[in-house]
Amino acid sequence: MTKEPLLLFPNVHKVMTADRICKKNNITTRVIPVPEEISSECGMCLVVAPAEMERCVVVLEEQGLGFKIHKRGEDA
Amino acid sequence: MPAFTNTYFDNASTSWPKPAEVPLAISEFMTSVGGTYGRAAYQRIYHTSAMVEECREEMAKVLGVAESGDIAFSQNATYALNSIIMGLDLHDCEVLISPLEHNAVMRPLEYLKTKRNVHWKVLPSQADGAIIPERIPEHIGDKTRLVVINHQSNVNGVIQPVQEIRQFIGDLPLLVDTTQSLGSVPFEGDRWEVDFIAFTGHKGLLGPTGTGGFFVRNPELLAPYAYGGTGSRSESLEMPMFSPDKYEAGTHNTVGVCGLLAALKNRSRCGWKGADLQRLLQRLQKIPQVRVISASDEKQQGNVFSIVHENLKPSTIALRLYDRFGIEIRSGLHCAPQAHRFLDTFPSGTARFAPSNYHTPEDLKNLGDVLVEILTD
Repeated sequence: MTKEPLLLFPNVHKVMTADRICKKNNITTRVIPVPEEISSECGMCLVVAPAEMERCVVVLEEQGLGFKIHKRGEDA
Repeated sequence: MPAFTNTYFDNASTSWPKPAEVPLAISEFMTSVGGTYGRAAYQRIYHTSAMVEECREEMAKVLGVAESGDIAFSQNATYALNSIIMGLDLHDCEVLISPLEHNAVMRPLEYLKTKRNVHWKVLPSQADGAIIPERIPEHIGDKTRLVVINHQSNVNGVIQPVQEIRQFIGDLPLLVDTTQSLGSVPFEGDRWEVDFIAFTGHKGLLGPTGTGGFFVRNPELLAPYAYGGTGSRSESLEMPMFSPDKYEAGTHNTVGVCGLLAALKNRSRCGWKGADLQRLLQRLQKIPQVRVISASDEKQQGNVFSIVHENLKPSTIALRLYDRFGIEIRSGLHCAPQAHRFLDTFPSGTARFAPSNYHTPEDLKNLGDVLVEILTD
């Protein structure tokens, strides 16, 4: 799953909130350490399968959660 | 000798017993879970981080606020109150306070008086310290920057009308100390437009000691009180400016938060009613040498009250109760000399009683029996 796009949040509170919302909506997630090549505000990030990414974005935006999407291999 | 469910009537100091789930959760956490908050992403830390965030969510419900991310955990309400009072940029100004403030508020304010020319002024109130909201505007001046209210006094149990106070202070920032009230008195932080709420976990919420925290409505107004690692923006030597990280430097008390979460999920119902407490107070009021220190209006009476006796010192009352009946209470000033000065019980203080949810109407009746015996001896 680590080749999948990453969802970056400012802090652990937001990561865990997003994780909880996704699970509630049957979106599979995994929390992983933020890779060193990414300059992120938080040490944790979410991985979501590409097939569920679109729905995930809608659900999180509905809840007003701010995040960035990082595609592996790109600069943050 | 009367049979008490338990002899501990010092729940204003710290509550006991706790829900059975609290020690079980702590034991399970220490035995099988462990891990810190948000410092890595393996399962142990994932579970602990999720647990801390669940506790934050539960606290948001208790405080009546929608944004749990603006709740920061700390080791107790005193640290929370210091974080707020010291974190605001107060200087050359005035702070309005209730007449029944604890030293957790008074000592920081006295420090600011010396160092930053910040002066405090007591709000208008009834004889029992209950604030008269409609008289507040005449006490607000050009230099007023903050209003601090002790939601429930830890001396006489008076519950302050926070919602009405907000109506009469305009846009002034409002800090409410819920140390004694939370868990037994409903709180609606959003609806009452409270800017800062300080809380403890080990009193009415029935959690372990070492837990507490605060809610801040606008984190831009409040600087961090402590500085250190947060697991976020680690490349920077400065604290992150977002909440709750801004206020949570260092490793969290995950053991305590785990116990607090268990307490919040297993909150007990109070085993007695306000009428049971009123019957006890009325009975004590009939003893000629006794002055009962309580709320004048029974609707503003919380689960704490005090007494003083013409001839018996508070410590003598406490010692007699303990030696003869094993009853545990606290005597003295209860870290609230300002409240005692206002109530004219300074410097001896009072004998204080604080039943818990786990007491019964029969316990309160029995307490009345033993008090009548030792106070009229």
